[in-house]
Amino acid sequence: MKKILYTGILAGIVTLTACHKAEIVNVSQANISAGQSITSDTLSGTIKGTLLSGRTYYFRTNLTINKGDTLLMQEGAKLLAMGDGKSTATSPQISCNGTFISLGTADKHNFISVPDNQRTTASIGKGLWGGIQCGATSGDVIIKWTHIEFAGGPAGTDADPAVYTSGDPRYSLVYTNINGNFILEDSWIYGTTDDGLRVLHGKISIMRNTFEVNGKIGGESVNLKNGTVGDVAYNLSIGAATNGFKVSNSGEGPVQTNVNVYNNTMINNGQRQLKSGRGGSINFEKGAQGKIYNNVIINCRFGLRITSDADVAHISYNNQFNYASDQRFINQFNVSDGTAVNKSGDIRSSTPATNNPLFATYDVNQFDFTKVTIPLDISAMPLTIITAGTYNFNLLPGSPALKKGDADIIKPMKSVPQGGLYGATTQGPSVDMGAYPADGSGNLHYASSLNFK
Amino acid sequence: MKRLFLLCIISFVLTLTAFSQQPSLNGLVSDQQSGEPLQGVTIEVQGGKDGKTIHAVSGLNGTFNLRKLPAGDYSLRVQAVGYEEYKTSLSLDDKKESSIKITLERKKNNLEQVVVAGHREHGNDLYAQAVDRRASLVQNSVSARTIEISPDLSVANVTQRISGVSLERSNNGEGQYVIVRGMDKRYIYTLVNGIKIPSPDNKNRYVPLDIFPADLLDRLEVTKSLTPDKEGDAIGGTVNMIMKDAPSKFSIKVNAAAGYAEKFFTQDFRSFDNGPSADHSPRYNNSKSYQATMADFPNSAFSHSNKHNPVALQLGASAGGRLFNNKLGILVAGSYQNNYRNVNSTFFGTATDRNDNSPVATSVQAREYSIQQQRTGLHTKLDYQLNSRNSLKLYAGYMNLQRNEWRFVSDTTDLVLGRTGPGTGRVSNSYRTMHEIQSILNTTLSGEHQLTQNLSADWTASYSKATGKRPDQATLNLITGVSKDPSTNALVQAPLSLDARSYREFTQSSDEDKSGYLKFTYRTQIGGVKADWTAGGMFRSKERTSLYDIYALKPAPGYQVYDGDISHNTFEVFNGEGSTTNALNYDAKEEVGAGFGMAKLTYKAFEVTGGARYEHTQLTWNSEVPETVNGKTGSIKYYDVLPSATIKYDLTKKQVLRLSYYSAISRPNFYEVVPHIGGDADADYQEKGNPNLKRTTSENLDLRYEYYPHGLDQVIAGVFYKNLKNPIEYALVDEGTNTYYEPYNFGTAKNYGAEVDLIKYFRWFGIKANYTYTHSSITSTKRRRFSTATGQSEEVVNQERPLQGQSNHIANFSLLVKDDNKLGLNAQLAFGYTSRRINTVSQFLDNDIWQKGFAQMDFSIEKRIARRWFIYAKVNNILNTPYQLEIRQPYKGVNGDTPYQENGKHLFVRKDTYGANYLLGAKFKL
Repeated sequence: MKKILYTGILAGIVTLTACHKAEIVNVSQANISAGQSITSDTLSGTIKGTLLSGRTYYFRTNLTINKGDTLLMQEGAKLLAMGDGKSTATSPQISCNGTFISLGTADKHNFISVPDNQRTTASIGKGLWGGIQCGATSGDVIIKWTHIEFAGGPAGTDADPAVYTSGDPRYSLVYTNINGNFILEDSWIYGTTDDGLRVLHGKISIMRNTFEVNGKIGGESVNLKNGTVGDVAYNLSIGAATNGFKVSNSGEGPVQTNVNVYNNTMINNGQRQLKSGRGGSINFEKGAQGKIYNNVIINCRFGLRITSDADVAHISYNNQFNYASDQRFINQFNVSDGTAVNKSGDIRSSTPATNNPLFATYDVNQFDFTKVTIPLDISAMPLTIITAGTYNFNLLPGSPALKKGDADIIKPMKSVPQGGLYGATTQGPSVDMGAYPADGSGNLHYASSLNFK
Repeated sequence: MKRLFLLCIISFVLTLTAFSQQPSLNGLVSDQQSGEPLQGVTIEVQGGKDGKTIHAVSGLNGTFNLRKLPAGDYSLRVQAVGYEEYKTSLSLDDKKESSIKITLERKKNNLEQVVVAGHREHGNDLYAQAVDRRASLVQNSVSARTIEISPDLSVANVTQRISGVSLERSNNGEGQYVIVRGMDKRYIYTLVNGIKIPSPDNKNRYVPLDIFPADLLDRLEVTKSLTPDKEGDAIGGTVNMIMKDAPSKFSIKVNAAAGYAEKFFTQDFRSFDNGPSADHSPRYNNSKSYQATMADFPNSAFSHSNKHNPVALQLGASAGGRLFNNKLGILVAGSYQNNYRNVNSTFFGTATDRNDNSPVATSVQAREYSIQQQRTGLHTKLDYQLNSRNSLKLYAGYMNLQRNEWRFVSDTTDLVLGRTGPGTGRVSNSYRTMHEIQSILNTTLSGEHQLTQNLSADWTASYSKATGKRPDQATLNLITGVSKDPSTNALVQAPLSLDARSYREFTQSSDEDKSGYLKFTYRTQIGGVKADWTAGGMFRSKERTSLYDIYALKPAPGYQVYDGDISHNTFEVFNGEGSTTNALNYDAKEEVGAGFGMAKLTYKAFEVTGGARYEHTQLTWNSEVPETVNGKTGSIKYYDVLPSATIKYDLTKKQVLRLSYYSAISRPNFYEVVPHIGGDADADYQEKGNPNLKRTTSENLDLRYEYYPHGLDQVIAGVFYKNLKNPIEYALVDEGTNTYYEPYNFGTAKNYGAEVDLIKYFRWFGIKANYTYTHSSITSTKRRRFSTATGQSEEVVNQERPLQGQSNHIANFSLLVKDDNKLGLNAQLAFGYTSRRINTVSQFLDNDIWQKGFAQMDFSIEKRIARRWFIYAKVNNILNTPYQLEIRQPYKGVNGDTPYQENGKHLFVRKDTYGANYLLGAKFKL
């Protein structure tokens, strides 16, 4: 009797096997409302369609472009943010998961900015709205002849966590699709709180743009991270807090950052960066590779900086023009913590204010840096040295930068579609250094962003 | 039938001693039933020529010795709690030395019914060992008396004396969580009086043990296997804190001590004033749309002052007894500890080289901490004996831990950027002040009822609430740099200025448990088989709310020099609305329902306990993130059937063999599942939640041999094997430009090992030693970077490694001196060794961060100075054992170019030193 019971119990235990039922998981997915066609001048929510030529549109809250949808701005369209930059909620952004196209023309510019009463130099660095934030699956972003101004309000959780932590100032344009195309041509990015433009993954062509006073106490005009492939040329970066152009493979992805940076002009960059040991013109960092030629670097805190953790073996550079009116900047033409050295084709001030590049109307010595302690607060920098005013940066005859570029060394990657209304016009390097070659083929801007209406 | 009188067997063995003129009496006190020697029993001898009364207390091996007794007739009386009184008379005359054997008979209630009896003094080693021996589980216990005379002040430190247990320490060097047999804290749950209680810790489901003062404990049990009536989420085991019970006779115990830390011989303690800071975030105190201004963030959190020679304080008191004919037992106990610690730390940021996958140091930080901890514990336990068949128990406990932590971090060298040689580079300094309040309230009402002769029921209803708050945690960020003047080569120090952003953070969470347990046991006797049939169930509803706000402050104007006085600087609030949409603002609810059936069969020397448990879990959460973000709400449902069986076989009266099998699970923590980012200011890396995390399941086998030669002596040896599915481990994962520390499931892991536990006592001297070998393995994918002709690339490879936190070797060794008679002296020297273990799993091949093996030594001593008065001293961390992390790959660099790094040696990652701590106190017992 007892033995039967005993064995029975034992057998019962042995045959009982553990059973672990798989989890039934129900995690909410992002609630996406269908894109609404544009019917009024005041936009809100999820939108798609066309912003018509000559019309002005307003938005007070976040706008979203769904995956697969397109928002297209015809020439002469204006899209104005109604914000104060004091909080995430009051600095609305454009969240782009679809395609965003702004087709301004040389005659009819587009504006993605703020209303006229706020569109003054007093709004520099205020971050009145949240910028254009593109998601990892967004479509192409094509921006031509467009003014993007005063973005940079604090990020909330709407922002991509891969890019921001809550409270970070937002960049005026972020592109994050490794398979997508990002084209920025003939446009202005003005008065941002932090970076003017940040690409984390993507194929790019950034040509002939003007970046003015980007970053208040830190921030680059153009900040390129992991998986960025393409060409950056004929851009003017004036008065950026840190670098004009920073290229890094920071962040992870299957594609290594590879960017050609050539024929750009940088003036007075890097003077506001609070942290020491950052760059002040062009930086290549953390595993980035690329080619760096024919750039003009005027009174920037640091020259070309290639840090030891960049993919130094696959970076080539030469033919930079370095000018400084302050011995401190001359001392950093070869940045002391970088690997870049003086190359055969480089042209440099040997002592302060020698080898003046001879810009048509811009006086490179108008501000006496030798009298100030760097870093400078933005209030200590006159607008004339951080914005493009109505200057002409063409090189006068006799400029030491003329005919000193290498026009053959770089074959542009042209990683994005070329030509036509929706394609890029990616230009190769010029025989003249800087963004304004003598043949007029480079940057076509001759005035600051705010001078246009 | 009850037997009301003692059975005694007395034998005299007469011998002569050469060097004593007066007779002496030797004796041994043992348990009549088991034959085990009894320690700490008082023997009263009265009579002789002068009729004096003399006392002796039996030693650790149950023996006692009375010397220089005048010849004559004596009456001898032995009283021990839980035993019937023993009386005899004897005469000592010409015999120089006499021996006596005393066997005591137990009172009717045996240990299994101890809850009903409620009269016995539990807090001694003997009781603890008896519990272990009788348990159907694989279990180790530590008694209150052992805790009292040990160097350990918190429960966590007590646990590390148990075989197979190592500790995870908090950043002040105190143990916080246990790791049992290499199984991380997540696999071990914590009970108070057998009830699971919630945690005030934002990140962990189970209670940190450093919140409990050790002196409130009656007994600490560490269980390494499960029976079906126990909750199933204990893959590694359970820690059960049995709080003190009402004593059988009125007693009062008071102790007070003062302490000092070695570090304060050379350093000051940094304190700050948290008074002006708000208790909650401005958003919480006002409205959701409120825009915070600088008025909400007082400067006091950004400043600090120095305090010389802070003195730690420790107070404890308990009073208890029985009323109404012993029917009602009451115990009230309180404990207060206030201590100060300084910690110094060096930390290297690391990265993986893109060309050859080798680890590189990227930055070095010097960190200083000043930590004040105030621990308050209050508890009361009532038991009421309605009649012999029914009893009720009420427990209420409140624990509070307040922590004031000042931290200074100087990131002195960015080893890649801005560095032109030793001593140059970017410098970022940050000051952080943190005031943390954790509290736990637990109320438990339970009852036991003998319904019929064979049927009994017991039930428990419990309410607990744990809260954790870190209001106005302030981080002041400063920057400077040292560069080399290119013309003179002199080092130039840039002025110290405010960084672009400083922060104020508010964290708040509460965790509320309501649970009920019910169980019926039916005893049968079928032939020679005694069978207990138990069935029962439990339900728990756990609700958690979490609130989080971070405010960024930016200097206005942007560039400001910091001169040490923050009132000279001005800020503005960058995001006045706080972080309203942060995912750490969430409500979560977990409901667990369970039922079980269990049989315990006893047949001759066999005892078989087995059955199965069913547990159903439902977790839901709702966070404040916008609807456009994935994971705003979520629910996870699953159930498990967890069988278990234990066979206990008594080889002889003194030898036991146990074989156990059980199936268990481990649930992810809320913090890990809710899709948040960041939120732990102490983390070296940003953390990220993973809503797709699965629970871990495991099958466990354990074989153990126990030998109890006599007294408290024991020899325990065992082997164990665990097979884990979906173990949860943290890994560093790159997403975008960020590196996240994120929990993942990592396939299948195996964990096996062996342990030995030895205790040997002589009359006044004892040795305790234990050693555990553990081996675990898990294979996960890693990345390997390499260089190609055209650029840099990487591949995915598999790597086998031990589980996070698992050490191969854990050893403990203690020497005890125990003399309750003449000297009234107790002392313990404890030594512990834990071999290296993985601290952080890297995503790159061979880049895991390991904690180096370490040895620790602690000492304590207690001396009776008057009848009821004792003084005691404790010294912790005598060897100044550091906490050290490294990557086990050679550092490639030049000696001297980077501090702490040596060419060819393992890459140095972190070193924290705590210094020794001293405590001196007095105790009164009535």
